Amino acid sequence: MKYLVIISGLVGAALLYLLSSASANTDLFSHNYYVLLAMTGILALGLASLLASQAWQLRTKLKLQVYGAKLTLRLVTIFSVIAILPGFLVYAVSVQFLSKSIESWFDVRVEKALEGGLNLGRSSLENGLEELGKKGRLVAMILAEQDTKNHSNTLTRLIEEGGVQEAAVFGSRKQLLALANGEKKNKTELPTDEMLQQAWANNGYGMIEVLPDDKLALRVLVPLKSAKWKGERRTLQFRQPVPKQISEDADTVQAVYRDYQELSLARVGLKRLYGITLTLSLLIVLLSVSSVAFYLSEQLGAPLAALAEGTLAVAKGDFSGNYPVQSRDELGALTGLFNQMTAYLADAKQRGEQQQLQVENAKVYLESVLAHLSSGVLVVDEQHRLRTSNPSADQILGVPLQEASGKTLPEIAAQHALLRSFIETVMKGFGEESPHEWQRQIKRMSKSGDQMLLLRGTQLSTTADSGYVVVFDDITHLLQAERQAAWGEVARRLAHEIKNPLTPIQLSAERLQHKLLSKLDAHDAQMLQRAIQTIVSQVAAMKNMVTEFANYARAPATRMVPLDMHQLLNEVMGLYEANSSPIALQLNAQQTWLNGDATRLRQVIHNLLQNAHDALQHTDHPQIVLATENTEEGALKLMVRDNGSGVPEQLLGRLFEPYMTSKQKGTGLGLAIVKKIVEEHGGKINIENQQSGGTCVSVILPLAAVETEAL
Amino acid sequence: MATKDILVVDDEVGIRELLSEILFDEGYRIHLAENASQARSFREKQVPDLVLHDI
Repeated sequence: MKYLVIISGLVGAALLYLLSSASANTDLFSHNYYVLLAMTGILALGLASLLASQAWQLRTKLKLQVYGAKLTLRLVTIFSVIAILPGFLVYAVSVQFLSKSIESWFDVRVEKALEGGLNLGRSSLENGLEELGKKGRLVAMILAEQDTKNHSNTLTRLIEEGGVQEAAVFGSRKQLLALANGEKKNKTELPTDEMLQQAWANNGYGMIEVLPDDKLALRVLVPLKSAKWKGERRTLQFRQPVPKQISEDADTVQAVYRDYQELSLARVGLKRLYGITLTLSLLIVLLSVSSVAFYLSEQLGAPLAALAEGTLAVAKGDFSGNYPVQSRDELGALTGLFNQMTAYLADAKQRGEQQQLQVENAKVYLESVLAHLSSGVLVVDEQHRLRTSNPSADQILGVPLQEASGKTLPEIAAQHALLRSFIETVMKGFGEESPHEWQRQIKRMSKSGDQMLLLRGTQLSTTADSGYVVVFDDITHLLQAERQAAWGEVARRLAHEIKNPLTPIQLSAERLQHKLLSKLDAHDAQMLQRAIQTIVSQVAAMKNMVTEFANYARAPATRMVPLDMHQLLNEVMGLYEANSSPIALQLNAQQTWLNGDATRLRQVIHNLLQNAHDALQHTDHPQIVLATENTEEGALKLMVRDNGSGVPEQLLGRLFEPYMTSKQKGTGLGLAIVKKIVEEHGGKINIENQQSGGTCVSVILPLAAVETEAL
Repeated sequence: MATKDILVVDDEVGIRELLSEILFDEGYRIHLAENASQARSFREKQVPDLVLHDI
């Protein structure tokens, strides 16, 4: 595009020069003018199409809203206006001036002056000729009087007197009779026969002749008439050169006048041609200027457009752009600065991202630590809005706190009645101004019974985000374990301290019977026997209880061997065939082998079935279900369900504690022993009331490792 | 039939006395020991026909 514009400009300039030269030069004008005109016209057309294509391109860019197109349009407009207005002004003035001056050339006065000059020259020559004629006639009269032999002298004298350069006398046959000239030559130009005839017919002849050296000369022929020469027709000839100045002036005037006449005839055409040349010049200049304007605008706009594009990219968050510095001017410096700025921005962004990544990593780390913490953690802000909680908190409190994030603690308490006592304690802890750290132990109701919680609260440092952290642990099991350990100690003491006196009591009673029975009458003997019987049986019951208690406390080592649970269950069921409550078996487990102590597991099954049986004493249609299934974690789940009266809710959580019972009779040790055995087998036990009534005890026991592998 | 000797070993004085009473009534000669060292020192002097002791 750049070279196209430059080349068209150069060609245009050359053509215009030729055109203007042709207008001034008549020869070139006549020969090549129209060719030049056509070429210039073609060039103008070419430029016009170039301009049109540039304009079309700009329009397309404007339509597509290419960045910088509006700027280019504005620059083009400014450049064009700057170029076109003076151009048109000069054009208008030139056209006006041209037509005025051409008209003025052909002014009437000029024509008159030229004609005058011409006439002046002509009349001056004619005057000279007339004078020469008069002189000739005068000399002819003198010569007619004289003899022929005196003619030469007379002529020589005449020449010497001045006025004539050459004088000669011819005979009838144009033979030279006398000759005199300033140059002492004896030759002259002979007149033609025609000239002589005219001279004799008109009594004299005069003419202006052009000499071979372009000089003008006057020639006069006068007939000599005298009777002496007996009819011989003698003629006198005068020749006189026109003075050089006059001759040249006359020539010039004549030439100019001829040119003038020609131009005058062609002036309309000339005016038109000059006009066309000017118009074409204007057109070419304007088109070139517009093209250059387009080009320059694009050149000027390009770095700005690049900068604009870059700014747009930066605005969208893309800092990758690096734009080449195209010039050394302010625009170039601006591009350089822009590049520097984007580099800084990219750097800053990258650093920001890195920091964000670090912060996120730290956050993820913290969350991971919180998630793996067995203690529950709650973070609240100063307005007591919950900010963070960990999974353990949800688990311990039995409420999905993650969902309640952002709510205030009183709002959460209003939503979850079970959390009320917990949140009251927390709020009370934060309500006290000092100390900043507090610790409390509370007992609250949870879905799985009473729960003991140990809470520790801390106020976060006031410099950062101020707020509070509460860390809490479920110490129910801890307390339970403590209580169980205490009961174990009690059991040992009881075994020793209670069982020992029982033997002497029993022995003494039996001795009394032995010694006294034969000495009493029948009535007293009977009474003694009943009393002794009561003592013996109660001591036996007491012994039994202490033994059972000691079993629980002492816990002999279990012997683990692989066994089939279903086989064990079937064996046990054999003992219950005559049971008053029907037992339904639902043995659904596929994998039934586990490591266990058959004797102790039997004890578990007996105990659970006995409990179910006891619970069904006042039920109309007693039904016990003994079911097994495999859990997803690869364990065996044994369930004993009854349709009895169920267990009071507040007792559910404590049923496994020693001496905790809902039954009228019994030691309260059964479930405690069952739990102990299950835990020795690495299992878990749970008891819950069914919605349909009755209770369900589930025992989950891990399967034998070998069989799990065999899967 | 010569009288048989029985050694009763028990740390509980009630048990010792009760057993010695019952066995005396049955016609045995009774020896008492409070603990294992007393029982051992008795056995050095005389070997009883029977030893009753707590486990």
